[in-house]
Amino acid sequence: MTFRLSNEEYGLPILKVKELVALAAITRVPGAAEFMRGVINLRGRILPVLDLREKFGMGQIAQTKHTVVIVVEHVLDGRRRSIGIMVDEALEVIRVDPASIEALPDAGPKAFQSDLILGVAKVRDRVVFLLDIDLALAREGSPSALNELPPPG
Amino acid sequence: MGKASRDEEIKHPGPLEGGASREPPFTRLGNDPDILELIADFLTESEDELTKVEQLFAKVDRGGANLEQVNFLFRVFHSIKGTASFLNAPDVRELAHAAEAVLRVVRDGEMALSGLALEAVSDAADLMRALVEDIGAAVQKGGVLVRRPELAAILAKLVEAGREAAPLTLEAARPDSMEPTAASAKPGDAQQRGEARLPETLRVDVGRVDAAVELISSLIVAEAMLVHSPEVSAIQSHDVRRALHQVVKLSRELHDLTMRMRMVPVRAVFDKVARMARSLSKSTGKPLQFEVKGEETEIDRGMVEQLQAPLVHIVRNALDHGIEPSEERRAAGKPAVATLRMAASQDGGQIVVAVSDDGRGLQRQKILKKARSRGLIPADDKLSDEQIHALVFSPGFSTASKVTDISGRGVGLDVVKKNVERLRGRVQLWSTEGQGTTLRMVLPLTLAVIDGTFVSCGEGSYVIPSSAILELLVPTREAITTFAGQVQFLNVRGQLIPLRRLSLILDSPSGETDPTRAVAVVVESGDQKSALLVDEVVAQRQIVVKPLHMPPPRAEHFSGATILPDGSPGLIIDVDRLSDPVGRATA
Repeated sequence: MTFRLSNEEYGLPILKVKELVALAAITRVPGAAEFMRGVINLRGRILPVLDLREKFGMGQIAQTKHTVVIVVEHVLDGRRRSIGIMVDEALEVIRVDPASIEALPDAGPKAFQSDLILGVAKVRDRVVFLLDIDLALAREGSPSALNELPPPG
Repeated sequence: MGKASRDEEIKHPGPLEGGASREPPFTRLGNDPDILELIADFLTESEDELTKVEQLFAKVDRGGANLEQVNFLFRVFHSIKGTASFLNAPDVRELAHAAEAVLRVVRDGEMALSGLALEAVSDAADLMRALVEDIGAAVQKGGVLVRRPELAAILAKLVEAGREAAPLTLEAARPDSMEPTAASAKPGDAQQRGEARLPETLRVDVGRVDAAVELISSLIVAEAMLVHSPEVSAIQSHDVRRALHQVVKLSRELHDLTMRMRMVPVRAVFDKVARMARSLSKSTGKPLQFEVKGEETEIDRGMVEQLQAPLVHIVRNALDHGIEPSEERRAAGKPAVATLRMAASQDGGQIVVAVSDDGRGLQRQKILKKARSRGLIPADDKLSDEQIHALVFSPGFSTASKVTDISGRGVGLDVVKKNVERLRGRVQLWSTEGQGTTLRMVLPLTLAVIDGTFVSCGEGSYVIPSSAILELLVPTREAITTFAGQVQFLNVRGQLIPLRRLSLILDSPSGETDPTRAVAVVVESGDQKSALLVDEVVAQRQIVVKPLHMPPPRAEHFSGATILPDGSPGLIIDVDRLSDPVGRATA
């Protein structure tokens, strides 16, 4: 499944996606990570919602009628938990021929979080970044925070 | 599960003396889901049955178990044996068979089960439970089942008991005669034998109950939205109003009912703890009389598991530290056999679980000495009894003069306190030196529903558990003292309480800055009081607590969330963790 983030197009394996929900009333959670927009009521369950643009250091998502929350499952504290990922727009479900997936060209050691991209697929005339969502969620902080860390060694 | 049908399945359990060809159980079963399901059924059922057996042994009087009880024991072991043969669990089968053989001799001789035979069968039941637990662990972890070293001894004991019970015949050693007959498992028999007096129950998948609770919680929210909507409120029709009232009433009843479905008796936990206490009493050589009261008291299912760890800890503590060796007890003029009481009761909206012993009580001098050596208190400090009792709850405090494998190292009552507080409960302690100690855990009835006070603060609105709130007041200018231009205190009837602004703690902009136009919520966490300044107290009502799973960094200020009447999520403030610097004045 592909979605839009700013002007970029990303893809997630469809099996990771549990459902898409429209953005309902969201409650900010003070003390949570910057990129956590808050929690929503998903049929009586409390679902944390993450702003993927903010997570990638691309600024906050401005809410439009296209804004949507993709519900995925990830592992938190050794348990499977649902989390909502807020993106600018859900696009379509496409079939990607594994043979057409290329590795992300090396953009140098400073290219941030390029390891979160499993590969690049060219679909028709568009480029889709295939996202390793588990790794992205497992990584704490957003890039701006990471950049503040002293260089290792 | 029908015992009769299973008995039919296993008509030929095969030879039992196949010790030489023993192979590790389950290794060849692989991951066949059918077999796994069978094993799961076997585990739950045998655990249930063995619990009943345990209760039976607790009731057996001096004359020994009567025929009825022997029959019941026989059936339990027989049915375990049957399934074990089918599941290729040779140790279980062998043990069940040996116990069954003894019971058959007793039954055929129409004697009471007493003396060595009683002891042997009781040991067999204990070991059987351990074996069954081993199987559960092995299946779950995929590990290998190791033979319990004590099995051989207990088997030998059973054989001897069988011989003693029937000196003139070798019946006991005969492998596997065809028993019991289908007739003995006929429904209706049970009542005659008087073992099925429990109310009828239905075993339901926990997931279904939880799903029902969730649905009904959502229903209540939907109902509140409907009833409180302006359009509906405007309806004058008498019939509609009455129907609405009915909907509200019924949904509340439904809610209460489903909540009750989550309640289970504390018996299961008590039984486990009692079992542990008995074995500890043996291993420490401190004879013990264990008394249990109120085991039918019901608590929330979610709380059962979390109650066990603190209880185990308290009982271990009592045996290790509290209860003296027999000689010491005699010297002190006490009965040589110590008494340990465990009681549960419901008190209003709370559950009280108490453990008391008649041991040596908290030893003031020993505690003081330890606290000083740990640097917890100054050397010359004079402490009240209460303060001393509080010391034993401090982290890492343990006065065990020798480290035993029972109490372990350095893990003390602080863990108990923490566990209980996590359940929104509290621990109380009474102790008289030389006479004993009582620990009381006061717990909420359920984890799922609490009374919440809704407050607004800036743009946000939050829920504070009403149980943590001491009082609400509107501060007057005179009651506020500012210290160093920064820290503010609220004078509540002569007591200075730190005043904190919720808006600052939660970094929530645009809260009311004038304290005299805000509301101070006086809360208590441990013995610490503080006044939280909020804009407004909106309402008070029961809320359904839902877990809040935020990816790290955790939102430390909240213990959970709930669904507000308008359908949006509301956050529940964890009063114990509002650890922000004491309220700084903004004005």
